[in-house]
Amino acid sequence: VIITVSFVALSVLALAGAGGLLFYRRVQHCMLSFLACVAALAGLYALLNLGLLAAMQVAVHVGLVSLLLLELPLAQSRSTARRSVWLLAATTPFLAVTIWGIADGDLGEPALALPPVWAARGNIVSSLGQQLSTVYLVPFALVGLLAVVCIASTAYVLCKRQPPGMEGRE
Amino acid sequence: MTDTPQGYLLLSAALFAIGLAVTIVRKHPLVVLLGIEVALQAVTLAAGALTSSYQDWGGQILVLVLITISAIEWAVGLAVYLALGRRDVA
Repeated sequence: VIITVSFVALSVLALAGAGGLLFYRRVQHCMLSFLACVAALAGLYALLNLGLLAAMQVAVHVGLVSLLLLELPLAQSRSTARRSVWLLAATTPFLAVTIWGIADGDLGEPALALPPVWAARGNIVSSLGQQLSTVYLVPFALVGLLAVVCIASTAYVLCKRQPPGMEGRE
Repeated sequence: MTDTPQGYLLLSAALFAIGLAVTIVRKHPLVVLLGIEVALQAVTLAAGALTSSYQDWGGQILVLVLITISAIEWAVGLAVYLALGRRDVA
C-alpha cells in the first residue's frame, strides 16, 4: 500500500511539475516547477530499485537546476568568497547523494522484484561497471567522445569574441 | 499498478505529451529547453521501467547514456542561450 501511495503521489508531483511549465510565466517559477518534476522522477527510480540512476538524477538535474537558481541571484553579488561558500554548500548534498548511490544504498522494498540476474551478481554498481568496460565498451567510449566534443564546443562558443565590425549590431 | 511497468509507461507518455506541448507553445528559449528535457526524461523513465521489468543490462546502460546525453544537452543549450543573450546585449 505504501508503495502504491508513493507511486501515485510521485506521479502527481511529476505531472504537476511538468504542467507548471505550461502555465507559469516567469522563468524562475518554471525552473522550480521542473525541479519538482525531476525530483519526483528520482523518487520513481528509487521505487524501481534503480538507486544509482536515482542518485544520478538528483546529482545531474536537481543539482544543476538548483545551482542555476542559486547562481542567478548570486551572480549579482560582487563577493567571490560568499558565492563560493554558497555554491559549495549547495554542491555538498548532491555529492553525498551520488556517493550514497554508488555505495548502492538500501532503498527498502522495491516496487518491482529485483531481477535475479542482478541479485545473483551482488553489487549492482560494480556489475554495471564491469558491463560498461566489457560488453558495452564501444557505446560507452562513443558517449564519452560525444561529451568531450560537446564540452569543447561549449567552451569555444562561450569564449569566442565577436569581430570588431559586428559589435553593436543586432 | 506498480507491479507491472504499465503505470510507469502511462506516466511516461503523459510526461512526453506535456514536454512536447511546452516545446511547441512556449517562446522563451530556456523554457523550451526545459520542455525538451521533460520529454527526454519521459523516455528515460520508460527505459528505466522496462529495464527493471525485463531484467536487461542493456536498458540500464541505455538509461545511463540518456542521462549523460541529457546533461550534455543542458550544457550546450545553456551555452547557446548565454551566447544569444550576449549578442542581444551587444
